[in-house]
Amino acid sequence: METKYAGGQQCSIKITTKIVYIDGNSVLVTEYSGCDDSPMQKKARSLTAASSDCPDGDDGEVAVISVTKKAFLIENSIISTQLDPCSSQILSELKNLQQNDMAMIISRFGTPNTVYDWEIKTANPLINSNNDAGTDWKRDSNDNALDYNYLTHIKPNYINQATQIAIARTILLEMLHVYLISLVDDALITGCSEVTNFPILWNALVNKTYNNNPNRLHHEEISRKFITLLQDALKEWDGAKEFNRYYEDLAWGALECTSTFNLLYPNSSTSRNRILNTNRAEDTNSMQGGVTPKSNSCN
Amino acid sequence: MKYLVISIFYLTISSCAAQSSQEIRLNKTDYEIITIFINQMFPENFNLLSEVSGDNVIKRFIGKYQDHLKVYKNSDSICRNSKDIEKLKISCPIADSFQMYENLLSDEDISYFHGTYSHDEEFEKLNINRILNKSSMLVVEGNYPSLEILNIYYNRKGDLGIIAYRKNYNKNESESNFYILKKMKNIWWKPLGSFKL
Repeated sequence: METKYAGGQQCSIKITTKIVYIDGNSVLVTEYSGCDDSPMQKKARSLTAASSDCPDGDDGEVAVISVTKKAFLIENSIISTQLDPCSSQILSELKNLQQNDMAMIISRFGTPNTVYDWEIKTANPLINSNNDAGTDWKRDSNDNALDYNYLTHIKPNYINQATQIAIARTILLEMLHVYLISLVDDALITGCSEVTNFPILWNALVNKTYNNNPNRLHHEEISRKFITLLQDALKEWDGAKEFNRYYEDLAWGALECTSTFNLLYPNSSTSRNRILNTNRAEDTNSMQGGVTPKSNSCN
Repeated sequence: MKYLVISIFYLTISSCAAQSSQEIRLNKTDYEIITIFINQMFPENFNLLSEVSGDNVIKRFIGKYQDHLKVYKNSDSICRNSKDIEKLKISCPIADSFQMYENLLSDEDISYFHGTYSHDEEFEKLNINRILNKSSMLVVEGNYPSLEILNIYYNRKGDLGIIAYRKNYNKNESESNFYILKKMKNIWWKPLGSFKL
């Protein structure tokens, strides 16, 4: 099946898909090529017949193509003109991984209902400039949130002190925040039910006594569902130079306050300190608790 | 006569100094709503910062309020008009949850907020013991977790109280939000909670 999509402002994309069978399971293989004004060519694999409550395509195969195409378009429309050169390079590499690139990760999360816009820039986070990074809705001059429009800030000081793999992890984590916010937008704007697959988030939306920090709720959901995805992406980005444990440890970075982390790695566990120190070492490019950073800094 | 001149001069200087600092004193109502806020929001222990930053965040509050009102109106519309049962299962509970924002602020309130709270303010320090006396929490030593009151706002009638706050869980994780309280029957403060989004 061949579909030509003349979408987005950046290029026209030719999408070719076919179903192959691996170990008895059907796998939809999608290849993208012919991005007219971009040298980038992409080969992506959509893993499952992703179910969706709110696809805008037809049932079955077409819906799956639609989902993957949306993820691809989301990835392609990321605005990074105000990102520092080092982070920009890391972002570009994350977008072009063979097995775990950002479009594939987005597809593996679930089913984006809408192609959203995401801008990522190097600047102090607006909500709290003490944080290394922050993601929120993009806002107009009256501070009103813009639908399906998100903005991530990565703190300049963090870029200057962290190693490159820590920055890669931060970008991926913020991408997950964006994805979860888009599901909230889907529910609030269209009534799409995908957000119910993230019950902590859903419960917070419909509980009248909701007093929790959305950021914390996101981290709880991410810690329960996305550690392996983060680990795989970091491993591929890094060329699998280290043991798996290193990448898994890094995937837990910024999720150390979650109940999942505390359950899996209680205070008494030796793994806990290793994970904390590994992340601190990469976040600061300095030895922490006997752990030396393995990645290079941007400087 | 000499002493009188000196006294007048001293009083003039003192008065000018007081005017230039514009320090806002925290009154009984402020402490009442802060205590309710803390007891509702933070059953765990934390480091309560005595400095009230006075940051001007009223524009963000109004923006967030309007976002929540928009969510309510949109979800309520879907809930009333859609025939898609799956969408109704999503939009109706959201509308129910966000209904509290309907008519919470009037246009007059919004104009009042813009006109009254348009710049950073300087507050006197919190008397933390005054709050602790009516709270079961412990104030922990150290930086994290910490709670900082950013500002306190009231509408013109004085029956809506808003506490802008930031809670720092650790170096990398913080929550910044607004806690809203409504005065009922001009007697007691009903905690309505923080923004959801």
